[in-house]
Amino acid sequence: MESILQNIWIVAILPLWVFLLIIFGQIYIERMDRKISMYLTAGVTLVGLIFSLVALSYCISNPTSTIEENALWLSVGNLKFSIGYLIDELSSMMLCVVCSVSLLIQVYSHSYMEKDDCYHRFFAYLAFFNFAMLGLVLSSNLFQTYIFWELVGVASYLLIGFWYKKNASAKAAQKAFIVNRIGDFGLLLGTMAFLYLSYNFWFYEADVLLGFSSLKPAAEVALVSTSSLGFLAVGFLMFLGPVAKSAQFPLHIWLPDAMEGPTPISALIHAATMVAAGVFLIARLYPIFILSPQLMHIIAYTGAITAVLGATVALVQYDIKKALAYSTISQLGFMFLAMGVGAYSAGLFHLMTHAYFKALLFLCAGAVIHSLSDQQDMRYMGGLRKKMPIVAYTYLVGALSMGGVFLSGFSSKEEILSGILASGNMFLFCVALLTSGLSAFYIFRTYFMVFEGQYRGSCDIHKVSKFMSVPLIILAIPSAIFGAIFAHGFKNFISFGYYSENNFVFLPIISIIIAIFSVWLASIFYWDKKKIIDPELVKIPFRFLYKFFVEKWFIEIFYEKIVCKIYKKAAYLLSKFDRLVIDKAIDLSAKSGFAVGQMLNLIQKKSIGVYVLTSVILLVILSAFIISMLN
Amino acid sequence: MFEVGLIHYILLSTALFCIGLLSVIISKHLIRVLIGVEFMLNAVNINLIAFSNYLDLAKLDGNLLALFVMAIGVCELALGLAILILIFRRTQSVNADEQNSFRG
Repeated sequence: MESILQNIWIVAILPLWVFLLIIFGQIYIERMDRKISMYLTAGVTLVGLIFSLVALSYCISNPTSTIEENALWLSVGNLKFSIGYLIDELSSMMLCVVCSVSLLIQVYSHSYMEKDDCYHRFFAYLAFFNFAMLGLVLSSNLFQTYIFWELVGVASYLLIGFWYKKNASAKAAQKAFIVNRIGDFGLLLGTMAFLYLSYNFWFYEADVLLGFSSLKPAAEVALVSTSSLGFLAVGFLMFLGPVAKSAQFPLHIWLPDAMEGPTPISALIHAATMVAAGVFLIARLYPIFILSPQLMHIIAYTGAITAVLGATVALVQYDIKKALAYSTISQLGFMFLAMGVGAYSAGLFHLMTHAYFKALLFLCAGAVIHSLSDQQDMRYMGGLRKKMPIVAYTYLVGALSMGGVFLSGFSSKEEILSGILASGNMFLFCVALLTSGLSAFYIFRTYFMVFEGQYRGSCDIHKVSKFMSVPLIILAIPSAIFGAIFAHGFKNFISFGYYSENNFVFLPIISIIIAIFSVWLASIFYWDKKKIIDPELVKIPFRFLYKFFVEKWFIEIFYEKIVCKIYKKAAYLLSKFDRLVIDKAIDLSAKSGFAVGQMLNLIQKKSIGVYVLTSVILLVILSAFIISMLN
Repeated sequence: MFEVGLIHYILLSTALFCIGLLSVIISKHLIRVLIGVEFMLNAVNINLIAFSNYLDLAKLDGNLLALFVMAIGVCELALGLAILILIFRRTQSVNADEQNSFRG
């Protein structure tokens, strides 16, 4: 027990070892059995899961105590960077979520990728992602977090572009990387500015630079050392990192495109774990953010805008993965909203339940897509419940949970709603209610379109293998019951300072009525059996709104037409400057060297006699000079 | 009465040195160049002995050194001639300006 806690860093290091093993030993593995890659990857994840469960049980039995160990990594002048691990309630919870979800997804990936030529590369990348993600969760200070933050981005880039021969994949990977760069740069700037503001504290009173365990006094020092506007700017820059990573409002455009990657990746990285890293980082930096009320407002409103945006765009998507991607954006917005209004534990609780049910939904979608030979358009699906009952019923569990009808999603959404209500902001409360109704509507829209009614496609339906269906069943369990089990314990387990209790009894009733009403609404639009209204007819009176949603609020067009154009113009001007001024200056120095060489060449081109004469003349001059010096 | 002094020896050696230098600089033939070098060497030798005779009467250091210089001069000449013969075998020419194979 004790030795496991002392060596918890193994959880992060083992996947790195597996990554190197697969990359360098691919030829030998191929000769024996390709499954070895999967067993290696899933095996170390299982070890990680056991270790994380031990850590979680330690944190539950010893509340408020943390385990932290740091080693000096490098010291530059007065700056001493450490690398280490920190086990507290937050990180042990995240460790369990990441390890359990990724274990199931790795098993699932085996049958999804079985026919692919790049089977080993896929598992190597998965192991690499696990290394980065677990390192991020375990890291004890902000610098280490930043390093792993970038590594997670690299893993995401590699996996989105896994089928790099497809043009769309390669482009989506680039887009994700570039958009994430904006946020990462903000995070880096914010970190440096924060270090600058609170440097005296770190230098005199803490031994780990930017360590999370002493962030609170450091934030107070930083707040005193500058104006409130300056502090807001620093916090906002740091907040940009989570905005990009968690696909929030202005920088959300990369996530839907990231669905070009293999579906298990969409489930693991772009739904359950990596995109939740943004919420995790906000939770880590909460001591800084909470000191600036304006910043908390910015977080809350960013989340609210994103939640509405994601939900409304998800309404009109026909690609099943795109619909789920927008729903992920919307749910992440929900978490940000919760964080912003101070419902710290509610946001993290939603992170946990969302990780399970969204992974479940994506894996179900992956099973459907796989058995329909890569058909992603929901208009060519339908009636699949009879063909693949396990997938349909697990999807239904996920959809109920996601829509907030009784299962886990209901408990966590309810927590968030009551948190918003406790903060007293009625506008945000209404937005959240609206969004949760919309989310129930669009998720049941996908369910009815895919699994009910008549099959509208033309291709054959393959069977779903055991490797696929078992993880679905296992994932359905936490999606169904975690909410009810942990709803009370979680608040006491992970909390930040105050928690304003809300005793509004009608809230669960209101939210459940809204959810069920939305499901009913979805059924009369999209369930063939109960169809009353044709959705095509509704489009006509609301065609402007429809166009607005289909075009994704015109944000992508705005970026393409305006931001990219300005950017390209600026880049063109800068390249002109580079070519005309900087290049020319460098050319000049090169040319002057050449000219000197040419001049020297003139002397050397003559006959031996000239050499001798030159040296004698120089000798005479030199001796004359020396003699005059002596006199 | 014409008195021979140190200055005359120096003038003689300077004249010899300049003749040798001129020969080295302007002649095309490699053997003339070698002869010019020998001229310069001997001019230096005369200079050495003259100074030794006029300024260092008791000791014979300078005279002894002149013998060494002559021996080294012979060695140098032998080496130079050997190199010259090799050059001639290789290029079939003793023209100094044509020996440009070392030029970069």
